[in-house]
Amino acid sequence: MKTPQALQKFRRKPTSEKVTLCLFFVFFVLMAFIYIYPILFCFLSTFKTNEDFYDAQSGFLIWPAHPQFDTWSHIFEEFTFGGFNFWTMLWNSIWFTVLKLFCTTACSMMLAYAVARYRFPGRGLLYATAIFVQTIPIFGSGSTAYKLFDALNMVNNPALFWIAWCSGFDMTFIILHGVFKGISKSYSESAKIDGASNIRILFSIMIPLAAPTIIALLVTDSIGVWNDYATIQIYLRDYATIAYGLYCFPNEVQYATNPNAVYYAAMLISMLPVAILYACNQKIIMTNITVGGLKG
Amino acid sequence: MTIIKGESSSFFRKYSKLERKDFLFCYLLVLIPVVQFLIFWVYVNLDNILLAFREDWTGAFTFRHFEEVWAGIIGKDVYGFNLLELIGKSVLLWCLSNLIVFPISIATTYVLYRRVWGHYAFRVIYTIPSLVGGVIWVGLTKIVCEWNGPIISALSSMGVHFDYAASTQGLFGSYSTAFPTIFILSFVLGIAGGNVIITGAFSRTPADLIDAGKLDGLGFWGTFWHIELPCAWPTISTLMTVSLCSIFVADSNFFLYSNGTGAYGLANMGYYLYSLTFRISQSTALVRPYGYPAAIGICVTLISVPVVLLGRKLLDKIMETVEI
Repeated sequence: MKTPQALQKFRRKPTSEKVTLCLFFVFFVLMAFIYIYPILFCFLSTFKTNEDFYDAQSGFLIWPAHPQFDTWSHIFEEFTFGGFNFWTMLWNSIWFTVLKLFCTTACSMMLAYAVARYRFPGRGLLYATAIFVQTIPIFGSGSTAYKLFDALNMVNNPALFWIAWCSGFDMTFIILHGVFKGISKSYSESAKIDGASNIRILFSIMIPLAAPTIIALLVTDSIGVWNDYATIQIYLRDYATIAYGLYCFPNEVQYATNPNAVYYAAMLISMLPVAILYACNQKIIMTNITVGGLKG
Repeated sequence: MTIIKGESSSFFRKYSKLERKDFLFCYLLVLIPVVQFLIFWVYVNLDNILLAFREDWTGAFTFRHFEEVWAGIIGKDVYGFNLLELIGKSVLLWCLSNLIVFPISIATTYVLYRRVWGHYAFRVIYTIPSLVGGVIWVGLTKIVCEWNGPIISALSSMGVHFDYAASTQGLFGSYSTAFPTIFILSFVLGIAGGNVIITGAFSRTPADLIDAGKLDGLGFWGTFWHIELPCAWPTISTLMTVSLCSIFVADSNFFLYSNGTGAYGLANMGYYLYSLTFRISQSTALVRPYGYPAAIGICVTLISVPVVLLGRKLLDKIMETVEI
């Protein structure tokens, strides 16, 4: 019988490396089990009846004795709380994620591009400020920020709240600064000789060249934004997203016949968009997110 | 308005028309982020300092909020929390995640990167904790840690004794088990953290550098220690610096685990600062207590800035950065 190529390769390795790889393999299997268990449990729970959840072994991976399949057919009607239905929460999650990502990424990109590619008075100060903000911690201003948002009528007001997301001095700036700095000057110089304006150089040359990193950043940031319940909880409570709905649902459930099963099904559904987005862009993310050293 | 002629003309002499056009373009690009920064960062932090020294009702200058912070350090504060305990828990969790979990995470990422059998599947599974948000992860782990869940059942069958509160309300329902459970969960979830970025850093190491190391007789860990780690060090030290800066921001999902109450010792400084903001956002009172959280923030900042600066210096000294 022919030995698989991977096994042949493994046999050729020194003994110490073989032992290391075997130990790590066991470790990886254990960690994989720990990460997958709750997801599997979640899936199985969607078929449980109300009584199953009070069973002495409800936390185990056991296929329920009397599985019920109603949860999945009623999930969109039953995952509701405080006057928000599933579709409203989904819509809020979508606009919240898209708007926040657009504002933060666009502002960071504009700032990073200007600082990395042009020499102008104040450029050094802007770079130093970005590094300062990222590396010197200042805590406890959350309440004061709320005071300002309240005074500016931005609380529960998405028409104004987006301004708060237009910050450019963040990690995205540092990553994109490295990317723009790494692009050869010859591209912009030859475009300039051909008569291209600054805006045209930015949109037709620089952004397409930095696009893989920008996409990778958008995807990784989207995970955090999609799952963000805290911003909604404090600033935009009248615009409940799915993440906030999942936070509130166990305490405020009103109409579900089997609330636990509905809760777990909603969890699985809410994971899907980011999981699909991430799976489709995994390669781009892996090869395009570089975090350099923080100098300054 | 007086125009200082000399300065104005020197500016126009110094820069050509084309350069001034570029400046205008640059200033337009940075305008929105800079204005946003001045309002939502500079103004907010300056106001934060002022509020810490002001009476909430009268606006008069006072040290009362700092006296309240001191009372919270030596005993309990107005909300019944000991601030020293909260800081201690934040530091403990930070040490766990950065001094224990992060090195393990780097090592495991390296082994995956060197393509241990099944590396692709493991890499996908390792992204689960970062894909699943805090709300979902807390919901999932809470049920596993319930009184009738697999953890209590398995440990009980091994002879581990749980107190009455844990065996009737689960691991998050008892003072003796709640924080240790969070500690273990932070370890388990932290292992997968930074996997993507570190893999990216490893993959940028030039192949000929690795080949040269092999020719010089470097083994599996030799390559890691002498080639991969120095090459990836800028990324690793940046991740550690950023994490050091969030030492009192990270709430380790305490708010979610304790349903916002901080009960059973499920509280650290990150949780507390967030819960004070939450409390203020819920308040319908005419005058809200902004001064106390501002005073805590200033005290915590004063503690952490020297620590962060020292940490950055240490990180720079640990390993020489290699520019590729």
